[in-house]
Amino acid sequence: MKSIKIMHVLTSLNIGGLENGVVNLINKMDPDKFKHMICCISRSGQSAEKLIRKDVEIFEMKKGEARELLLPLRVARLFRKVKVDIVHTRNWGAIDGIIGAKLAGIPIVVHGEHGRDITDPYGTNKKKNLIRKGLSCFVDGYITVSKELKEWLVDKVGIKGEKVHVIYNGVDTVKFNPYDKGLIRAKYNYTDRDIILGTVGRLDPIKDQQLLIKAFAQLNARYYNSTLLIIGDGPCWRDLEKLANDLGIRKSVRFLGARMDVAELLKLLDIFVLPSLAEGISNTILEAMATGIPVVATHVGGNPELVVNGETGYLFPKEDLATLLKVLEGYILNPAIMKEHGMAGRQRVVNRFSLDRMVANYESFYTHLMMETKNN
Amino acid sequence: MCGISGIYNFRTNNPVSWDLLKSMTDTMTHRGPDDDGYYISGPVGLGHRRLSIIDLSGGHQPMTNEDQTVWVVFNGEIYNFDELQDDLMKKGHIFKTRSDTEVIVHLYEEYGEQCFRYMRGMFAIAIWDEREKKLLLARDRVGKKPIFYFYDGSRIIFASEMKAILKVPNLPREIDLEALSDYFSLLYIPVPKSIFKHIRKVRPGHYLVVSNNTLREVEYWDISFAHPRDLTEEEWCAHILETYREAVRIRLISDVPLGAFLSGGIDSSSVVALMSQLMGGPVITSSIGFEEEEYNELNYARIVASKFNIEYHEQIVRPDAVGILDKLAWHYDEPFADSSAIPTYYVSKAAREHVTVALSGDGGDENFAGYRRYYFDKRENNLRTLLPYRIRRPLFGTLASLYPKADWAPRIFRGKATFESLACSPIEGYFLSMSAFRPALKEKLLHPDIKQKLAGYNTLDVFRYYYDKADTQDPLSRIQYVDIKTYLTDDILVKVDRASMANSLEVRAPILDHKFMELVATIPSHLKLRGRTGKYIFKKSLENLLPKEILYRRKMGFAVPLARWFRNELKDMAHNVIFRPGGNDLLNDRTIRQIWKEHQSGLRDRSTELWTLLMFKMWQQEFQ
Repeated sequence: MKSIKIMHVLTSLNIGGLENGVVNLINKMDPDKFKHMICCISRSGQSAEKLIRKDVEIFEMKKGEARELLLPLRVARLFRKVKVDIVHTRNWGAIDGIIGAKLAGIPIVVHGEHGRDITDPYGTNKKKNLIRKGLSCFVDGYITVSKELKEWLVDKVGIKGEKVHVIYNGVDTVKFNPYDKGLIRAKYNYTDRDIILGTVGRLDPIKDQQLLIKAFAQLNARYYNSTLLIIGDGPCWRDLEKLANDLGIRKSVRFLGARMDVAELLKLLDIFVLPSLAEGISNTILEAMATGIPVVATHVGGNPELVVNGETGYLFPKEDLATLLKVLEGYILNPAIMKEHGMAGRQRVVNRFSLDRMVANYESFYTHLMMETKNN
Repeated sequence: MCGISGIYNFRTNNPVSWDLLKSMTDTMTHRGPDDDGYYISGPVGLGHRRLSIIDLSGGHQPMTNEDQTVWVVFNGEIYNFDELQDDLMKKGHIFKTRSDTEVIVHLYEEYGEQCFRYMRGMFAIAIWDEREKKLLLARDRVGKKPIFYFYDGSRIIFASEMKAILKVPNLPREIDLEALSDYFSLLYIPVPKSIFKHIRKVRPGHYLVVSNNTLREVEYWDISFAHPRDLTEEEWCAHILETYREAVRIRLISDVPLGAFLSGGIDSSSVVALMSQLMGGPVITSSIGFEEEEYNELNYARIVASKFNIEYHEQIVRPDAVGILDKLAWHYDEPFADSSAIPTYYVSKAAREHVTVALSGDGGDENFAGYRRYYFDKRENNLRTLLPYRIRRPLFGTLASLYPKADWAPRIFRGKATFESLACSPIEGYFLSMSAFRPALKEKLLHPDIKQKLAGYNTLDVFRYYYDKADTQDPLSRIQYVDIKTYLTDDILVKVDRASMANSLEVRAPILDHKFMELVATIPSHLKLRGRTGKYIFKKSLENLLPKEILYRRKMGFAVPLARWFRNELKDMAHNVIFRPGGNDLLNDRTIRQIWKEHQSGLRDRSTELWTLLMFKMWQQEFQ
């Protein structure tokens, strides 16, 4: 069987969740069956280039800030030159790739939606959705990273359901692991007797960390050996600090800022809490699960797809302080159940959200499309 | 060889007690009968027991630099110390002795934390940097030399053997339940865990840094299977032989008598063959045999001996299993149930009568895929690929997860369970093939309270972790990677280190030379395991060196007649130990009785399980 050539189209390779995913995918896919190239609509940004397999060619389209009407033509010229089997565009920024691919007569076009833009958080921008719908006749298959995004593509944009496939992101279960927790605790001067809660994310109203601080204040009054770690940075830092001060728990709440060593810090936690008002597929939930910690999260966005209520953690309605409190206290009183949910979370990630699993899913998706085109 | 130990009270700055450090170090006299030495300065203390191999007079430790700001204790051998010394002299370092320890001191001055990358050999090293107030603990790339440590956020206490650390008064001795569970599956306890919750092992290829009141663990080496090279078989054979020969050559440096183990297998025979080419004089070899014919390999050892210039020693061993069991339990520090520890102990004892250093063939199977289980794994994987493509694809992919939409998939394959078990089965299959207690039996063995505390912990995850860490998608390479990180480090190398140290013998393993391993990792899998033949390319490269009947004989392994022992000479003693009253809230007595009955009635061979239980109980007697 000859190998399948795939052109991945992205805005750039500046490291973020999406780019990281692409790099992981390319590096782990079977090098004999698939050959990869990358086309960056703007500049590559270098940072991911170093991480990628050596045999992957990277092209830059150097798109500026302005609208460029001729961009699809330039993209098409490139595609024609390198002769690929599949063009795989990702997110709004790479949408020109779809037109380019059609102009170049590429047999298969795939488009991925990996989470919404900051400028359009609920995907309600009419004009963009019209363009998405208009281009859908050129796209052979869609990939979304959550069921919730799939529903949006189907219901709001109007893409046919059978065209859209969900492939979850894989989490690095090696980097995020449940080992040596005792040692890490000792390192930061905590013992087994401390109860440590934590959350990771931007300090932003949409993440609603203040709800967690309020819940924690009540817990801390009853369990003096409890600590709350808040990892992340953002506009709400001052307000959250002030809230902790006003509630008299400033000593027990630690603001750690944006950190590079999240994988290690997660090992300190007994319970991971994510009280957001909205979420896509939260990478930090997956990372917490891989670290073997139970996750208590709001019932929003993609969270219910990750957390199995009562098995790997609990889901509670957003802004519902009483339920959050009840769940947290339940864990504190039943450490065995807490640990069990943590381990079950790790197992779930290992079985269903591992990098291997993601790679296998993409591989079979591509081969399936190739077979279908051949058969038609 | 040697033993090292040390204490650093970094947070309290309490002075280290000389008496304590000395009593810790004295527990390891067998590791270093020739000399001992200490360095204590306030909150820091380093201890050392020495077995002299190189520079019989000048290698006293701890060793320091010109202005006494760097102190080193070291257990092991740096084989390229001559080259390193030349380089360092060119850079202006002044040397007082011809010992590899002094090279470490100057390497650290020159390169800081990066210094371990330059060393070729086996080592456990502690470096105290007085100026930076920094303690480094480094372990060699595959874990030939051990380091245990206790760390509680205010002090670190380390030693080559765990019994030294247990000398410290009031140390918590809580059993690590995950480690306990791992032991009954694997027969050993995988790094970084130890049987005690508060004592850990430094991972191979890593070093620890204790400074500014915190601890870091840094990986300085890992083996990569990511870049297989496309060479002809002849080219590979030439490369293998050249690098292998060099790995043997650099391991022949010694000021004391040096020889080799000779089992008559491919690995040890090839080491002996290369030695006899390189040494000029006769190679002193030691072989042991058992009275039971089916466990006897001496005929093969004799064939090799007749072909080369060898001073051949053989012993027929009547293992006094009863007599050496407590000794084994004491030497191994942790529960350890690979029964080939017994022959390894005897062959070390036999070798020590003639030499102080012996070369061994360890690592051939891990590097070149020589274990039968690799073949079974491969067969299992092949079965999976034999499923028609159109049926298999949905099992592995998205389209099955789209269920029930995937209406083109046959109905039976739409169940999530089938799909998930197939998607992760290579590593699970491997895990099962390695398990002493099968998962179901282990479930019954562990006390219900323990099971509850384990809270769903699964030993499989240890393997899965490395399986995911391997930087390749090739199934065989990934399994080999797992093996190198687990079985090799914590079973094979522990077995050899403790058995040889118990007899004050140093063992060197050329096949585990990291440059050789790195070369072998670039050989494509199909040249390692071809059909049913493991080590295919290795055998091919040795064809001009060894006789055919050695190369293409049936693999035997280093086994002992356990099953019979448990029914005869070991029976009474094992029964007493295994059913000793009291002290058992960890295991389920009913299950143990059932296993014992099954074995004694001859219904089933439960010798592995019984040996695992026996060694655990022996360990409890010794250390709890």
